[in-house]
Amino acid sequence: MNWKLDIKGILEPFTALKYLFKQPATLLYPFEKRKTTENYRGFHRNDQSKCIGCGLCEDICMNDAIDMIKPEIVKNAKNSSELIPRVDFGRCCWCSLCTDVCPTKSLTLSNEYSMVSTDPNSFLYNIPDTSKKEKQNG
Amino acid sequence: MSFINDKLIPTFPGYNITTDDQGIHKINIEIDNLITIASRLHNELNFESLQTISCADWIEDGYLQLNYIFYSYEFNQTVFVSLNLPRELKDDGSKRTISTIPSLQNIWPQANHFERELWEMFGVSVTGHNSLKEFFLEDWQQIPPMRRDFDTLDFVNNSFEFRPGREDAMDVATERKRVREAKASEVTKGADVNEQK
Amino acid sequence: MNKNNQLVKIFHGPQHPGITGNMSVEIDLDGETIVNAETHVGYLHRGFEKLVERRTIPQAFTIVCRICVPEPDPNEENFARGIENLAGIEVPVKAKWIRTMVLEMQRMTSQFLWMAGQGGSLGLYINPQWAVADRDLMLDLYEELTGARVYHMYIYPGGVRNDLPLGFLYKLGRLLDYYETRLPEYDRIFFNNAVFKKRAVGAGYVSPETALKHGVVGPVLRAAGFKKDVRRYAPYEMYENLEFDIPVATESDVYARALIRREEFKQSIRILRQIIKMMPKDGPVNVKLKNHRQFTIPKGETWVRTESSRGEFSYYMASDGSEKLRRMQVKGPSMVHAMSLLPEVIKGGQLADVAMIMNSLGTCPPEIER
Ligand code: SF4
Ligand code: SF4
Repeated sequence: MNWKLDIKGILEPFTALKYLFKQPATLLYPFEKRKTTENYRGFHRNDQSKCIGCGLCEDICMNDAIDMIKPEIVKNAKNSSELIPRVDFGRCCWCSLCTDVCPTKSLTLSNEYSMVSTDPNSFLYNIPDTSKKEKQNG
Repeated sequence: MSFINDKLIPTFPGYNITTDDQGIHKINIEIDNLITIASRLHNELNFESLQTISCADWIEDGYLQLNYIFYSYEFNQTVFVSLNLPRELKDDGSKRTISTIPSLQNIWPQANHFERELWEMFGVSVTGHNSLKEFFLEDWQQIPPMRRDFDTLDFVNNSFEFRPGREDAMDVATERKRVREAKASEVTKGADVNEQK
Repeated sequence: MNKNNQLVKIFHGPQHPGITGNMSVEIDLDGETIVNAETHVGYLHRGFEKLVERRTIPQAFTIVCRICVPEPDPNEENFARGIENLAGIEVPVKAKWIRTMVLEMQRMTSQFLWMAGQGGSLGLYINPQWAVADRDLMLDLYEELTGARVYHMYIYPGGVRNDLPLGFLYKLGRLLDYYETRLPEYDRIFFNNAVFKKRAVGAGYVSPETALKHGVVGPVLRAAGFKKDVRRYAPYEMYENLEFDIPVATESDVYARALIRREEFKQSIRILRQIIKMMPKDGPVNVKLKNHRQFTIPKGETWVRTESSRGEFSYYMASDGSEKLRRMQVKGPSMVHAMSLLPEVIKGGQLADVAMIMNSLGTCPPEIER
């Protein structure tokens, strides 16, 4: 194979060395956290004072990730079945179809996304209630 | 429009050729004519490329519809060569269809893999094919999985266990009925109380 | 050959770092030279085509993006366009523009992934590090637009799921400026690198006849001298209104394909700049579909194609008048590239080149097995 000496091609890759003196592109993870954007599709939130227990979210979820369960107290007097959704994160794929279909927009996705646990059963996730917080604040 | 009048109809007189509103030409043929039609499309009309062989299981009509999708770079045209294969399986336990299709691997090498997939997924019998062996599946004992009568939910329920812990799920419709009845009886009770007053 | 004058059989993959995903190439070796090769898949079969038959349309839409890991959006677009063809839905203009933009962004991200893979397969590890870092900046934009980084689930039958966030086009323009300054850097470390040239020139030759006969698509076809691109010969969405060149080459080796991909990257920047200019200010971005159990599609069949960065994705879809599809058949570029082309191309080559050629052909098993 005839091959001419390509000095430029040999030397030029070494120009990458200049990045040794630049700021790193990575974050120092545990100390510095990435900011997620507003409409990131993370863990579910449910405003139980608005949820009407219609079960549409359970119906559209193709992964069967949503169960309708009995809450301790029914927060919405208009809740027609007195049930609220619970999500199995072992199955959920964060497609957000359930939040799109929710007629009262009580179900939303937050922008939190990290969950570490050694217990697989903890992935059965009782959706945190956002209405409670508002009451505490008020 | 001109392509079908100028080229397709003169080349294949007597065949049922249709064009749909997306510009796809469709030639409906019998299985016996497949090799002739395909090689004439390749040699005379310059359809260089066999894009794929698609298969849809029309179980209620009792056939598998095979569409050989050809594309010609020269004419920028798509032709479906469509044939209906009876979907009955042989009763010797091989789980393959009684009727067979001839392989096109001598004209297009990639047809080999398309046919191998049909053989595995739909149980289509292929003749003249040199590597009919497992493709995606391993040790598959059931009927070919892409056939409509194969029930995936059944298969999952039989082969996997579900994690416990979700038994407290309730049915929305029955609960709603219960709540409505409870409310109704409350209302009537309230009415009774009112009357007594 | 070993001591007894026999060929040595090795499996290249599925646990080989140089392989592009979960597949394996069974190779018969005579010394270092490949005598015979055969591709095996089956490590990743997920049965998506069958699952789609069991799900209603909105439910099925969430899994089509998973058909191809590096390039989910061409699949989403294909699925959406197929459903629109079958159901006769007219998509708003702005949605079409956004779709074109998303597709072109996707082509750029997967060019970066290819660059990472191509560098990795040669032992040029600076490439993966740079390319993945640069790709991440695009993923940040995706996150802002769609809410997810890799599986966007954004292009939906009837439009796209949400409108552009505020200032998105400005940010995209800034990112394109940055990418333009990065390209000469990549030239220096990668495209003009003497070692890469020495390895890649002449390796993995695909003759034009082979390319046509096997039905090869994408950059591999264009490197063999055919100026064919779905965006040009069967334009979809808004590609008719955009100006771009289709690079071609005739050498048809790994190096030619690398240069073609580099040129396509530049064309993507050019297209995105036009889109930024031409994007309509306002207007609806989707049409509302019926409740998913009542959304029935009339009986029919369709065949849709999209150009991804590795070639053409085509979907055959048939509906039977119910709310579920009767059949959705996916054909990605890898079905041909990995199964029938790769064994032929590497025959007679060296064992050390297999990973490089595989990457250059753009093989990706997830879409073979669906
Ligand atoms: S769809 Fe919304 S309102 Fe209906 S049950 Fe689910 S969360 Fe509640
Ligand atoms: S986000 Fe998707 S998968 Fe998850 S619970 Fe909602 S519908 Fe189901």
